[in-house]
Amino acid sequence: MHVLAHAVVAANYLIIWYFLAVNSVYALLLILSVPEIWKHWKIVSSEDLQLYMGSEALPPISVLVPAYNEEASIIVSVSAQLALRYPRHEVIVINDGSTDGTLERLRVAFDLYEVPPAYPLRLRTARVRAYYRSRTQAALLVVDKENGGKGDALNVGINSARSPLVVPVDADTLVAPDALLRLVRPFLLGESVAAAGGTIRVANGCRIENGRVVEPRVPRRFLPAIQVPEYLRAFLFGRLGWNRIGGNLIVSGAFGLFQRHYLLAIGGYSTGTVVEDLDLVVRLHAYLRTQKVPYDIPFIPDPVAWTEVPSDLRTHRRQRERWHRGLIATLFLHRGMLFNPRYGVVGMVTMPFFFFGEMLAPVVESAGYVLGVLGWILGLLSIRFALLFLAAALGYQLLLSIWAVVFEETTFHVYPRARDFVRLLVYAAAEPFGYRQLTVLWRLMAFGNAVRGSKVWGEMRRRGFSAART
Amino acid sequence: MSALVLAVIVLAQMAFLTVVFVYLVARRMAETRRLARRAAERSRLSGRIEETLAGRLLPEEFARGLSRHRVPMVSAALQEGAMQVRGDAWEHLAAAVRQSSWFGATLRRRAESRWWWRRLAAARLLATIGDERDVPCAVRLLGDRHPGVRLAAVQLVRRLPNPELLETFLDHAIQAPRVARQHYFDTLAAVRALIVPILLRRLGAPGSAYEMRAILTLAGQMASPELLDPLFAYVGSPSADARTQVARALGRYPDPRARDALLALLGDPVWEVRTQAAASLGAIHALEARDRLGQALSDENWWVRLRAAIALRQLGATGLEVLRQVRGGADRFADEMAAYMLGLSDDAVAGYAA
Repeated sequence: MHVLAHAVVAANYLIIWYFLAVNSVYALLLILSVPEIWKHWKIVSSEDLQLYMGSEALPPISVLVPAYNEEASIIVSVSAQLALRYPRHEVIVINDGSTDGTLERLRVAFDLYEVPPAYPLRLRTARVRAYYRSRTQAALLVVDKENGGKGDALNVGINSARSPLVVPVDADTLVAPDALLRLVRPFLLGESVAAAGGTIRVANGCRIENGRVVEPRVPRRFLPAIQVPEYLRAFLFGRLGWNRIGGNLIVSGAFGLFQRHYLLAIGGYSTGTVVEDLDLVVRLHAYLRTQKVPYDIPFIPDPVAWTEVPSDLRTHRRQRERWHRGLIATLFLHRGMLFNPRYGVVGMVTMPFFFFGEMLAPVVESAGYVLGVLGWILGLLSIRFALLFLAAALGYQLLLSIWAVVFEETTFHVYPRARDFVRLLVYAAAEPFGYRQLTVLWRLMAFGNAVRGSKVWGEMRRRGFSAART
Repeated sequence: MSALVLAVIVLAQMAFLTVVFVYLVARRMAETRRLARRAAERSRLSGRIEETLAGRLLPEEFARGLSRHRVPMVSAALQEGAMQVRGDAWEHLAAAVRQSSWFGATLRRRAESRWWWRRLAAARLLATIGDERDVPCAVRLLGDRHPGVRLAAVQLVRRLPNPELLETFLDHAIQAPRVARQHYFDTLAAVRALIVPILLRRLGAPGSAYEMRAILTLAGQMASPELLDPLFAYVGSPSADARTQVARALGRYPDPRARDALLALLGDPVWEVRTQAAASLGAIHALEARDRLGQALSDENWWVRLRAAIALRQLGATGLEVLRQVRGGADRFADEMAAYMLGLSDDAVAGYAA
């Protein structure tokens, strides 16, 4: 009993110090994100994008749209990608062995006809059945292939792309019309960009017309709405903060830009992972560091893509469990980079933080809850102290969410309606109470599945954009 | 860590959160009124610009009233006006603003500021109403240490077509990374008459290989007949990179001499040169090149075959005939490429060629 008491007390102290260390890094990221958002905001305001439209300078872009059983939204999505404001872009839709009518819908809507394969196969992929061009849209290429997963479909897209830059976009994601113009800004600024990420926002609840978000709104339903401040926090200060020290580790798989030749050099996407975007960026860092290529992987806040987030608990659980399982697998796979000075900031700062601060966070947080209760039962912990600590921890979480709202309000100000603003504040305030603990539980479940080597994505139930006003 | 420390942290958090909440709500409430005020101010300013351009208000009078407005607002309104209106009326207005004490004070403060976003504002303002007197300031802004300022300063060339500025601009362009350089070059197309003499001189005595590459690219983009002869001098260059660049540049010159040079480059031992030569022959619609392009369909390199096939499609019926002849022939690679190209719509070919 005496040993147990000592162990509980020691563990509690360990948790407190962990909490302090992790939150200090978050505080640092928060501080670092301020000059970053200022920089982007100052360039963006009164920038004349029309000047770029007429320029031959902008590098051609291939937008890659992997599609698996997307018959509900594929036509709206592809039409929107084709209509993006950009001087030279092509759209490559990769039908990843869909079992529904995805390909047939594309065939009818865009008057597709088969063309002979004439693309150098640089990356090994599942068998491609056929290539199609459109009689109505010169910039469209549709590739029909056997099912091989999202990474494999994207590799087919990389093989088929004609442009030096590729932008993978999820079929259920709506890219803002000027997002590509904004995404290539670092190239015009002369930066050595290997990849760049844009902001992902929540499309649920927004007014959508012809594949465009015409009126951003915060959804009315609890589950999609509470993810709005969560996304804001992840993008508007998390990634901006990492930008400042050159340690950005994530370019969202739903919308990001990559130099195609770097993707070819690292062998494209891994097909054996459930978070292909994180794995890709980690390998990209590793490759460029090893080759001593000067590079940057910035996050740019003003190009926006809107995605439909899960609106039922089961889908949401699957998504969060999969994300965390992917994080565990990726960090384990690339463990050689941890604390390895050869990989610079990524090896010495970002990867260790992702390991201790992100991957282990649900373990430590749930241990904190359990040990707190145990300590109280054993009479080792003052209830006042435990509650104060809980209040400080949750208060800190609340502070980060509210800070993301401050960024949003003082810069992009995407939600003009007062009621959306109120909802944003309410949901930001509500997030640490209940919802966070639920996501901790889901992320905890990921450890078991990761140990079992699960590669399951799980069914992602979507309502489609026509029904996304929830 | 004692309970007291935690209590202090929690209290500090609560106080901070309350302040942030109050700030956000107050800001929201003020924002609506502020936006309305700004919209009204902007509308007044735009109205005064319109009145000045229509001759109902003296430019000097307009310039005198500027100090009542916020600088970013004036800058944005002038930028918008400059995009919509050109000609004498605009120049009178710009000259009056340029002469005003408002401009002198604003520009000096901003162009010399230690904060890059203020220098950015100066670059944007100069690109709208600057004149010859601002060349030294423009030269400084072009070489600014912040990339955002440099990007905005690119537009200065359109407003201030001055040889000294152009030389500096060209030097910066040559050193810039590829996309940024191309953006600089695009802007130079607006001042073609002034840049061609500078290019003629630099083509005659290029510096580094890097500079030569950039100058050849720009010479191609200018598509100016005076530059054709200096370009021919690079057809026999020992540098494969120079030959590739000149092949690309000649694709902007629909001239029989350019065609002959490109036909010679189509037989180059380096595949990049052959690829570019094929693409350029298609771009200038060199009908006489049909047989050589047909032979290039059997080239050992995929890219050369692809570009030759596209070039043949660009030649119209003549090229289509060649592709049909190759179809079903003994050469599997040529057959495959011809089949692919014959299957494409005209729009798809145009997309490829672009």
